[in-house]
Amino acid sequence: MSVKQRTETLARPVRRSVRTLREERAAYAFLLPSIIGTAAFVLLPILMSLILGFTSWNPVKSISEIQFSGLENFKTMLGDERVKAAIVNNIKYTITYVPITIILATIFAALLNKLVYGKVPLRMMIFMPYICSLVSVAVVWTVLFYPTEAGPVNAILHNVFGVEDVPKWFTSSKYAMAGIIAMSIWHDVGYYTIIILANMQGLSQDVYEAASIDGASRFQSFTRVTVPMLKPTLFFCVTLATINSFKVFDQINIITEGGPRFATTVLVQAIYYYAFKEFKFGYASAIAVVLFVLVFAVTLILQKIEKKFSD
Amino acid sequence: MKRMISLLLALAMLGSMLAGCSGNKTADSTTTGDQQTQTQDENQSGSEPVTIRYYDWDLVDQSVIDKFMEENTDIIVEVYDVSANSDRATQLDILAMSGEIDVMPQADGDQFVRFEEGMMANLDELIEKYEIDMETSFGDYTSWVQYNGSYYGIPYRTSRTALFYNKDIFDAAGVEYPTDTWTNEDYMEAARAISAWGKDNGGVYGTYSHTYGNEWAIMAAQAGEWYTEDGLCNIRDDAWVRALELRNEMDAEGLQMPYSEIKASGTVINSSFLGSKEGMTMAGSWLVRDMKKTDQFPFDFEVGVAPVPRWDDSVEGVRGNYSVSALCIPETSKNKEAAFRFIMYLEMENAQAIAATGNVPCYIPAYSDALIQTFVEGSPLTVEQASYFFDSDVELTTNKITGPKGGNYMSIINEEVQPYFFGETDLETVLSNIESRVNEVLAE
Repeated sequence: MSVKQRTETLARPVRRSVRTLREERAAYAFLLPSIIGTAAFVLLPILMSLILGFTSWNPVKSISEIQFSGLENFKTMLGDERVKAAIVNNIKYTITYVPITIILATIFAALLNKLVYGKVPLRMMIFMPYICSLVSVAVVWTVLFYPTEAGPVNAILHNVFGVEDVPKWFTSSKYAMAGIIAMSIWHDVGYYTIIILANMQGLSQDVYEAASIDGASRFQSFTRVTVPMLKPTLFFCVTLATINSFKVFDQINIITEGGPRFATTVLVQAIYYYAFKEFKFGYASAIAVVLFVLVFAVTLILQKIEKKFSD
Repeated sequence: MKRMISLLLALAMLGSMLAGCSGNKTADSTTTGDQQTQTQDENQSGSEPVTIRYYDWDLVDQSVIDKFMEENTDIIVEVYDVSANSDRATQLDILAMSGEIDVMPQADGDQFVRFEEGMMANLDELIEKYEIDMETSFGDYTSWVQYNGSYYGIPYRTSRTALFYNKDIFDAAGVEYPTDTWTNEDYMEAARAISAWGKDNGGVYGTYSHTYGNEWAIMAAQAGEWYTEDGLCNIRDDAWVRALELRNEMDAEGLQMPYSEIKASGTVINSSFLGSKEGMTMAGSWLVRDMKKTDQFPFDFEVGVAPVPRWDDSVEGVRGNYSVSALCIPETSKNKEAAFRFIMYLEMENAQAIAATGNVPCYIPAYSDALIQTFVEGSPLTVEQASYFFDSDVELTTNKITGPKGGNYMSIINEEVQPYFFGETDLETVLSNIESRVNEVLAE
């Protein structure tokens, strides 16, 4: 090979990388609007919340009037009944809503996967609540769970099951959160069912055939083959449901407004209350920081668990 | 070439995104006080008219606004109708904080929280400059727009509570109509008689008490005090304690729709009373406004109006309950003077237009039979019946808390009484919770 040829051969990758660089520049130029959007509407607010959490600030006053208050907001939170109740309620909501939703979604997905007839209408029926507006769903559930025997659910409890002292549902500290959780599960289960079903349909049939040859029953195939193979999907769903469970607000604000007293108050609602009812943006931001830390910690724990199970 | 096109497209996308995010930049978008005044003065003396944004949920006829703009060519008024939902105050607050509003209403005692937080502009200088005699113009209503001795709003509409009754139901149940001298006992007796009759007649209740903040305290306000002499929470005042008990007793006795059912069903006074679900109700004068909306609230019975019953035998005279809505200028407004001129025009020259909407205006010098006639037009009420809402001899008290931290006080009461009205907590726990929380807020 001549020197000229060798130089050309060496120069070729350099020319390619220049082209690649140009293409990359164009790609970044196209990405720029999204990067700016994310920075302005996601990153900046997160950063602002973190900073404001350590301040005392009323949004009516100018930015120059922000007063740094150190850990004062966090100290106040320790004695704040509303925040303490919100944290407990959020945890209660998460530890019931997430497992029930994912277990139900997995069962529904498995049933839909096995069905030969009526798959499409059933899939639609299960998914339908998810595409319904949460506001209208909340209104319908308020009617269904009317606190007297006149309500459809209580009428069944009273007339069919002979329950004399029917639950007061959303107007009772004891049952309000249970009603909210039930409604949320009903609303969201279809979404997770579709995700799990889509992954279930992609599982290799060879493994099932092998399990069948080894004498596995249908139940064993499900627990020993389907579930382990769906692990990444299930962990994804659990993570998503957990994050969503910490964000719960709409249905509670419509149905109970956090009451009776603080029985259904959650963290997002506490943030809303302090920011827009008492105009304590610094304190509300501090609660947002707590919410962020909680969600972040739970997500990290879930990731660790997922990694452990994967290993 | 391709590279150029892709770069141009990317720039176009970026440009359109930024354009979408930007607001309407006005000529007077300066922020500091001095600059603000300067810009405003410039605008008002120059040829460029200033634009003010007026938000409200109960608007006067557009012709009033048009006439104002004709007479004041240096001001353009943009009017925004706010939907009457439970979050309207928050929606307005957010807009006000971002400087989008120049004139906004404040109602039901909510104003005091905003005054305390510095959200509304101090109007003392403008009141002085335009020589407004607040006492003559608005009388006692002025106490609803003052904080620390300064004015932060102008009284606009007053909601005067009356005992509205359904004459057809009273006749059918054989109950005598309410009188000026009715006491709480008479009211309870009538409710009892109508409820007994109602059991065989479609479940009509005797009366209706809504779940608004402190609605249970309307009559008790004639006797109760919200603060002790030391300025602390006085929820243990006999009047409040008895009023809370009464609400529960009436629910339990079936004299009215229970609190929990109102909450669960989202029942509202206008559709309930005008739908003949009860014989009577204590409601604000705004019910007259809704009586005019016959397409929305159709009804065909004869309506009677009586004063709020006396709390007990020790109370004398004709009694009434009231609250005041004010028009305020957010501190963030860049056109405060123009906004003030607009407010004063609405208030002082258009009481008739306000009355035409079925609301009682606060501008007292405009009170006359002609004004009352306008107020009742389109409703089944007579001038004589409606004169109660304008009568200066009626001794007024209020169930709202207008003292220090009144907004927080009311919101704490609202949260704490819920479990009691739902039958979950005893009264002592409720009183003790209210007392400790309110005193904590007062001590801040």
